[in-house]
Amino acid sequence: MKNKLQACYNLIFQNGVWDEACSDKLPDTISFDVVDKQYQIGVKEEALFDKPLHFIFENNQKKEIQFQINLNASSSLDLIETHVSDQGCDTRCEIKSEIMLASSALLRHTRVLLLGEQSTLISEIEVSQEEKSQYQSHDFFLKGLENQTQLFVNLNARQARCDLSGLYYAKRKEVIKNNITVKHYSKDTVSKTNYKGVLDQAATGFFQGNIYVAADASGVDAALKNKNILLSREASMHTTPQLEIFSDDVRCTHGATVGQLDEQALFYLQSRGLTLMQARQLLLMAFAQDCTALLSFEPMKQKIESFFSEQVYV
Amino acid sequence: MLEIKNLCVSIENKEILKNINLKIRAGEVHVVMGPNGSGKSTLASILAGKTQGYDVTGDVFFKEKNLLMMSSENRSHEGLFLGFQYPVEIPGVTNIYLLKAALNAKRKTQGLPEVDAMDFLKLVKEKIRAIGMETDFLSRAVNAGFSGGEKKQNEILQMTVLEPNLAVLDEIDSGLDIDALKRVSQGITAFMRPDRALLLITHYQRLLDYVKPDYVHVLVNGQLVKSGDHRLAIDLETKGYAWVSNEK
Repeated sequence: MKNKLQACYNLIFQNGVWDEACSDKLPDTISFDVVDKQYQIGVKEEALFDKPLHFIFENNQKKEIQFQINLNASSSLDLIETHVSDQGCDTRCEIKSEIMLASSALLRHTRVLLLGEQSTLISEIEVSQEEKSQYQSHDFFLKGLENQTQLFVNLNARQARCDLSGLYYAKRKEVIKNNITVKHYSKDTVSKTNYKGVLDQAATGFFQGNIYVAADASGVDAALKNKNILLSREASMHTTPQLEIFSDDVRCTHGATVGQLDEQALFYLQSRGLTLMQARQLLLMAFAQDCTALLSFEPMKQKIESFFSEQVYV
Repeated sequence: MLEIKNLCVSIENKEILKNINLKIRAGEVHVVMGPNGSGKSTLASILAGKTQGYDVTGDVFFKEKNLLMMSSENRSHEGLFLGFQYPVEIPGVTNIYLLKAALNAKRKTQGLPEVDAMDFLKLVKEKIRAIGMETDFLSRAVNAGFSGGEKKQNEILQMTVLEPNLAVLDEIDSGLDIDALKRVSQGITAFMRPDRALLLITHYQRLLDYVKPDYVHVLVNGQLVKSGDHRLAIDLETKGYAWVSNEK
């Protein structure tokens, strides 16, 4: 199985169906059930794991998949999702995930999309967080006809925190849509959202970021950023960061940029002997770096960095 | 090593450099001085291969090859180095990564294999110590958050690693405190050899206390209006640029 990663608990889903024979056995502290066509994952209290859980979605049909992921108090899990499909397969996959993090639970959720040219993935992720829980999401959308993600994070109790980062690259007529909503319902909650995109050829991107702070949620710290680089005249990006704040005692920032690679930086690198292609790749890798640097699982980090250094702009 | 013949540069029909003629031989240190807006930095950029928006006529030969026909990277591979007045910040790329990429790009054109990572580290540490800089500099992102002095020292480090034949240093002395000026001057002095040449662009005479020029040229309104030896720089410091313009 080419997409399996060593040093992971690999779970394979072929066209939305769990492939038990190809999947690894899970440790006792994690439960995995199928209830009414919904995959349910439960992590016991205070459970920690020696390696990440890796979901591999190999999808060559039109499918809907549902997940429910529960992390009980003080547990910690690394979850990696790899989405792949065959080149030329006209596929459309809709995946819904409900994630519940109990107090002081930590979920690191990495999603990597390397789909075929005709494949669409529509994701809806809803996260509910209790006191002092942490949700870290790292999305890498690298290939596929269309990717739509709706991510809702509800910070329901004090000191809950989410760090949402995304890196997307699109070319041809690919479309990327990210709709991120973070709701701060409680005091001293923190959200940091940082999405970065590179759009080439006739690709189109949409980013809608929403931060909501409820009236009695004081001490909130929220930041929302979206930066984009367009590599061609035909590429386009539509970005709308929005803040809805009903509390006085908050620190909220937002910013969005759409631009090109810095001409002076390209000249600087060329004057040091790099070709224009090398200079562009280096600047793009540097642009992506603050997203890739967040990946703690080294094999996946290398996979994504090599995608950026070998395939982008070639 | 470098011969500039009747070089004229304009941007949107505005003349910036007018009929520049300059010859630099191996082993020589030349200085171009001039007031703000006289075209000094444009001259440096044109030599390093900046073309966007510029209309350029005349000839420039570097090691007897037509420089104006070469891309920026080829000029670097041939042995020309520009030390930028405002070095560009590149967050996300470490100094050592850029230095290695730059050196390997040059080696590739010379038909040499890529330098081994350990050998490179040894080489670059020797170079960095020789110019009195700390080695932790190497793991920092290129110029990002550097002080003015650190940026200029970083240019000298890049020059020292790339070992060009001709270094054009554009206001390498601006924004430096006394200690940084000494370190930069040390780097420049160590760089000079009989087979190399320097073109320094500066406003001030103070760098020339450390690096003694063979020739000083004064650029005013895009024209080289006066040339002389190092005493010309001292005269300029006391009398100002108006003196040269008036004398003309």
